[in-house]
Amino acid sequence: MQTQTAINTFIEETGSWVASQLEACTRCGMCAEACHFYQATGDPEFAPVWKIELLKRAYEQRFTLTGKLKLALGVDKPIHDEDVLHWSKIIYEACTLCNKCSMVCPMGISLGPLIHDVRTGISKAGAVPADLMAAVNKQMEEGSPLGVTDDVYNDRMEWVADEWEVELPMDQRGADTLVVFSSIEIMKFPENIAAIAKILHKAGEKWTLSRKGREVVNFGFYEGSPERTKIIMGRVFDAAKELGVKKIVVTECGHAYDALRWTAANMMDVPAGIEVTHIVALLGEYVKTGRIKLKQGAYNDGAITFHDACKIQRRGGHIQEPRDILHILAPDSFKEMTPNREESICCGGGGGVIAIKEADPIRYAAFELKIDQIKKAGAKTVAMSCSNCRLQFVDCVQHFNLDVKVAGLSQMVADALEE
Amino acid sequence: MSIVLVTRIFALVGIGIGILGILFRLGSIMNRPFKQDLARAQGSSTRGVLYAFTLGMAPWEKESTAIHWIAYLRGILFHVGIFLAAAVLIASPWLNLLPGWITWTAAVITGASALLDLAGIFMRLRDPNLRVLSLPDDFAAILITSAFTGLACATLIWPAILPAFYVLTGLMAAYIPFSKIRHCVYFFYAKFFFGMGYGHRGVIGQPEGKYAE
Repeated sequence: MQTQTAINTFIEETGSWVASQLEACTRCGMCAEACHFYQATGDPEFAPVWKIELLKRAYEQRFTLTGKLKLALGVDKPIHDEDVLHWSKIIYEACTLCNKCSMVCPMGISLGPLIHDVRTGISKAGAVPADLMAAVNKQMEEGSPLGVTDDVYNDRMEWVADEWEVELPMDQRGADTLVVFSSIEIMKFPENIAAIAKILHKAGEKWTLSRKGREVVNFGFYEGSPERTKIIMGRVFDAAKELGVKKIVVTECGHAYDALRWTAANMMDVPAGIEVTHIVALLGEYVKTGRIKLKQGAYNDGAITFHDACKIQRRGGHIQEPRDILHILAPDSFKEMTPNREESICCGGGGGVIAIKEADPIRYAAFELKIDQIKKAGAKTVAMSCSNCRLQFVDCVQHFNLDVKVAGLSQMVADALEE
Repeated sequence: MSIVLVTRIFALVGIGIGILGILFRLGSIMNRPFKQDLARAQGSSTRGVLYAFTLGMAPWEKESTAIHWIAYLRGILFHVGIFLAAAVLIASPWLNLLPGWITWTAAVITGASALLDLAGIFMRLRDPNLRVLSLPDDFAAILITSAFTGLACATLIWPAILPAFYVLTGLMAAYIPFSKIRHCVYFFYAKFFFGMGYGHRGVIGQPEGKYAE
């Protein structure tokens, strides 16, 4: 355990942006009620303001007179090994970094990124939960946390191409767009690959897959390790550079989108002239510009709702596109959950939580809020644009024995394409 | 020297300490490195900031304020009272020149504000979540700010209280840099960054129905 490394990291991470956020907090407790883990369990340790306590303590004790005084008088405690271990459980198992807390904070404090900074410190101290670290190590060694090696990737793609009779262009130099799937799609939802391929062909997109950049998931980002986050993102950017594409399309993966779209430029040299976008943005654009046409009312036979993903909608801004699509596909049966859009309730499986076995009980407990929302909307189908959310939904639908269909938005679009 | 003059000087010294303390604290923060967001913009940061400081604070815009409208209203009212008490402080040498209706309106608002502020102590003690999160500073800040608005109210009704109002002002102002009351400065920073960040990403403040990209 390298607690001092964690403290040094907290101090390094505390630039003027972080410091001003920490100084603005009035401990009003509003963030607690925004947290699905707090709402589900009532445990005050799950309040987002408490999750950033170590960062705040390190900042105050290092930079402020009151913090130094409190430490000298024994009112405040220095950060010990047991604190790092204790907070490791709280911030990895009971936080999806969904950032809903920042939406309700009267001050507008961005708690999600601050909790991510706490993860960075704890990761440097070597106190990441074992399950999550195993997935990180697997991705570093094999290229994928779910074992999508070169051979597995080739086999899966060949199988998808045969099974759904779609062409999957591979390592095509001169293509405009590189499409990168997540291993969740490759291993658990292969129909998504076929669906997206069908849409891209229909839209006349000049696209390709890449063996080198075959995995968009970034477990280094979940862990909070800047070094590993960069290495994993570098694989995708290197592939894009080699192929000479102009655009990288992140498929249905929220965290990967957040990393490549918003974080990469702030932590590494991103190749110039390559735009990163999300599949839902591309779908929205295709529909808006008429590059694809959808069957009006194709899903009008039962109430359907949309689950906003934290990293794609709340933090990614792609709030309107899925709604425009669903208003075509299900003009009479589309119902919003409450709250929705940027105030949506997280599914509880993101941020690496679903990879940690010990987090299962609170992950399921948090999902009960979603069940309540779905029931109130009277929905029989829940559409979404993130495969990590989808994995959580599929698992929880089975766990709670729910009569709800879980659908990927791309799949719905592909099935409703006009010939 | 009269008691009013002595206490006024005390208040001014306290205010001076408060301002210096805040400036010192701000300076040390501004000296920390600032990482600019280098990701390509998807929306307008300016619109995000405008939204954060205007509509974004409207009760109907946030689920949390719609649910906790009593807490929201309490917050708005006691903050109005604090600003009004600050105005009373500035106008204190000339209070006798104010028309009666202004004096009484201000007294009612500051008095109500003091009570609403004080209610924060009971809210913190009653709510188990808030009780755990609360630090001694939370209670001290409520006590001192409600005493400030309460004494502003008392001064308006009984001008002889003015020296006590000055003494309390001096103590509160000197305490600000060390307490959470300093959020009166950092609120603007956090809100600005919130608007800028989410505007940049095209999440808030964008034209209705517009795609983020």
